[in-house]
Amino acid sequence: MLSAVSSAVLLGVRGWPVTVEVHVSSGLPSFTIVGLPDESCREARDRVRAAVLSSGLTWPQQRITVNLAPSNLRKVGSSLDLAIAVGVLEAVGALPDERREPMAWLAELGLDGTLRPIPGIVPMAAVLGDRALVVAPEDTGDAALVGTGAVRCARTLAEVVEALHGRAPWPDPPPGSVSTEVATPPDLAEVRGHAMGRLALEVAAAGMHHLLMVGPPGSGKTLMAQRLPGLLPPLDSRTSIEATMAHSAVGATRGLITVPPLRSPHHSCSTVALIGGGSAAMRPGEIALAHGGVLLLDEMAEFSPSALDALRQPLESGMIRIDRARSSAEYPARFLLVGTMNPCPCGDGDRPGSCRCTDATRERYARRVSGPILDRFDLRILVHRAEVEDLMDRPEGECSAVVAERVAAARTRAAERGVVANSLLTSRQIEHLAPLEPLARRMVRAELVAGRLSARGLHRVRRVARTIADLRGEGDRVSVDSLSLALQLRVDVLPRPGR
Amino acid sequence: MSTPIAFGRLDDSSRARAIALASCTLLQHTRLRDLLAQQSVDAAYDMIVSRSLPRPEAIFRSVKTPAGELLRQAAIELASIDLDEALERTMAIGDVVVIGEPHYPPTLLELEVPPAVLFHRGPLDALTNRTVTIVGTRRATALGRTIASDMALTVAAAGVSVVSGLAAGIDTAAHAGALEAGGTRPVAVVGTGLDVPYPRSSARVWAQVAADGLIMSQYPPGSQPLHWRFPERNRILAALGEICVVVESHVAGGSMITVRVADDLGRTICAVPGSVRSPASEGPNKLLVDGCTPVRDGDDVLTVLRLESMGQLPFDTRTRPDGLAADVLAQLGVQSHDLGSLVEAVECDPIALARTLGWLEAAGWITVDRGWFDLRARSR
Repeated sequence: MLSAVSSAVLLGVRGWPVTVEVHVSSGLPSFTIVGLPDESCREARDRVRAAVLSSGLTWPQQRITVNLAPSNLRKVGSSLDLAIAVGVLEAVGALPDERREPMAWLAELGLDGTLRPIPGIVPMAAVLGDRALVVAPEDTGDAALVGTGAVRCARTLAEVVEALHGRAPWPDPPPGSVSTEVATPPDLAEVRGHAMGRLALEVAAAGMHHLLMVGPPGSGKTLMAQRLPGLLPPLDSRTSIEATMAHSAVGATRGLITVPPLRSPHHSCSTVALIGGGSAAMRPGEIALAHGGVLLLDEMAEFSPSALDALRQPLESGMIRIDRARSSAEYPARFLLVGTMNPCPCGDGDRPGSCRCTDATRERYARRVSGPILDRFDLRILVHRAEVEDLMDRPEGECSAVVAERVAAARTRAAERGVVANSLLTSRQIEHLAPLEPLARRMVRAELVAGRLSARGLHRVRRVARTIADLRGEGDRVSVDSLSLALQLRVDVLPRPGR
Repeated sequence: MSTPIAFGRLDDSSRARAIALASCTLLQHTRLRDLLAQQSVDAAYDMIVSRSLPRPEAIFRSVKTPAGELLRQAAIELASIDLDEALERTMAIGDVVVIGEPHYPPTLLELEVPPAVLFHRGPLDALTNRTVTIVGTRRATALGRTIASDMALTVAAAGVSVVSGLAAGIDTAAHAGALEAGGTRPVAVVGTGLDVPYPRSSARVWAQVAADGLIMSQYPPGSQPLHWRFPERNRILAALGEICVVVESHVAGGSMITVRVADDLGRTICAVPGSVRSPASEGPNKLLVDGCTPVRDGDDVLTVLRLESMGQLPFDTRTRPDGLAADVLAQLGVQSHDLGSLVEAVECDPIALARTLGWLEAAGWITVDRGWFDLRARSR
């Protein structure tokens, strides 16, 4: 009268294996679930009972206790529905004893016995090892992405029971459950003019340098930022799996994510939505969803300061750890941050003096984004509204494919030095992987003496210079040309102190 | 009103009384001038404190409060001011000159309401030079600041005292330029107490003007920057200069008050033409349309003053650029640019441009502020 079946629950972007133990004994008919289920999980009780009855099976009029082990882990969500149903049926002997392979069950049940897809199938499948997975038809493709065991699907609970009895084969997975279509990101060719903007995008993509664009509304900041994922190389297998897990955890997409994602949360976005950790399930935030791709923060000055400041730690470490009283979770969050800002609050201003905003107003507006965050941007450029001639007559610019080729070549050069991206160079690595030629060394010295460059700024400039040198195919040493450009691509957002 | 009573230089006790009268909030501007037009400083002080002023309604004109009541309040306020302390505080900073004293600046008497008591730091003889008032907006463009600064440098080098208000923007740039020339004392008229540098961004230039030039205020030490004090200050600015130059101003700017007063006083008004699209040049452009004298630089101002350029500008030690650098300087002479707009304007490779800009900044030809490049004034 006892059974134990395998399943999993989701916490953050990780799955945790859960054993569903069911005990059926004589006594007053009852159905209890113990083992720290939260509200959404406890609701399984009613769904499971209705699903079993709708499938033409009998519900045991006995005392049923379900335990979800380990009992110290909080279980959230509906992923255990199918496992509980199978556990009950097995405990009352409604299923054949001799099962040939170890199995795990991951699906939500409808009241009519339908198997429904669940969010987070990828990370949950990843922790269930060699067990054969039984999932809803829509989840078949995703479950097969990372798991090593066989994947079976069934449309209803009745089909599961039939298949277990050997009276019918497991149904075939529906065609097209693995999405192969890849959405093409918009092409860079549509950006006309904007020579410096295009250059900055190329450098950002080649070295994964965070990019800030300052310009009036309608100057094409967002347009350009949206084209950045198209310049990045496809995700490597590890990042691809990590990104897929995060997206699967929020039920955002299906299939393996190979194209760098672009996330652009609205500026009313809360800290938790940005960083993650919302519900008891520790839902991943926008930064985890942007892993491997681009996080576009449009109108940075309008974001809440606390949300922006929460980005500081993940920007440094490439991951985010969220700790709550009951649980903690860790997500990978290595992304390319692209910010856009207006130069002044009125929104008309471009050149200083071209609108009615005073210098003090402009400065106050820029200070809405804290200094440490501004400092994280290796590349900071001004963007202007395109001239009429640019919009009407100018030929299209280079297309994404051409630029992406140069980016890939530059990244190969960096990879030959054993570096994933130049923005990740440590200060020790900079010394021997990005040495300056003598003239460039003198220039850096002059900048430092004049107070135009801080020690931290120096490292950032040298990383960018390394990337520019890679794009230009320079040798080991970084030339004064590359350094000059790196310095000019780092516009001060705030007035320099002492002015 | 009647002319002020002429008297010799005041002794310390009278000066202390004058300072106390100027510090009394109920005795500002017209009231104080009217009072001192009829009475000597000592007599006026005594009459107020003892409330024995004949015909108080002639001084305390108010529709709200009866003159007797205002006199009573003024008496209380005046009596509460410690004369020794007030004198000490003023003399620690500078000096005070009262209308009617022989060294009171004569040009100020042309004003409808000349300041009755004037605090100053630095010798008043700076005003015996030829003078030019340079005014303009606080929200100046970098180009406007450069023009003001270079203009002040040229006229100061020719021995002309530059008068301005030490406000942010054009004023401070003009003073900085005048200080650079050395030799000729710049004159500043401010709207706060002489010990209250305002705005703080001008504090450095303020200190230099206080040290090397003349700085004046009709408000006693400790007076805070209040909005109504600045238009009063502008009248003094207008009166002190033989000519008044507007470098940049918005149509409704405070500089336009200075211009109106200067025009009423019969001073020549000059304006620096600017782009018709630039809001900061709306004021001078409108003045030009109305028929005032256009000036482009310090030499033009000297011509208006019927002076020759003295050719005593400090030697320019900067290496003269050529090639791309010269093209860049030519573009920046027209308007501010950033890297992106310069690439378009001079049609060159971003790398070459970046190198050139780095060199130009290091050599002192250009300045960069928040991504915008501008020509650097010679005087900074």
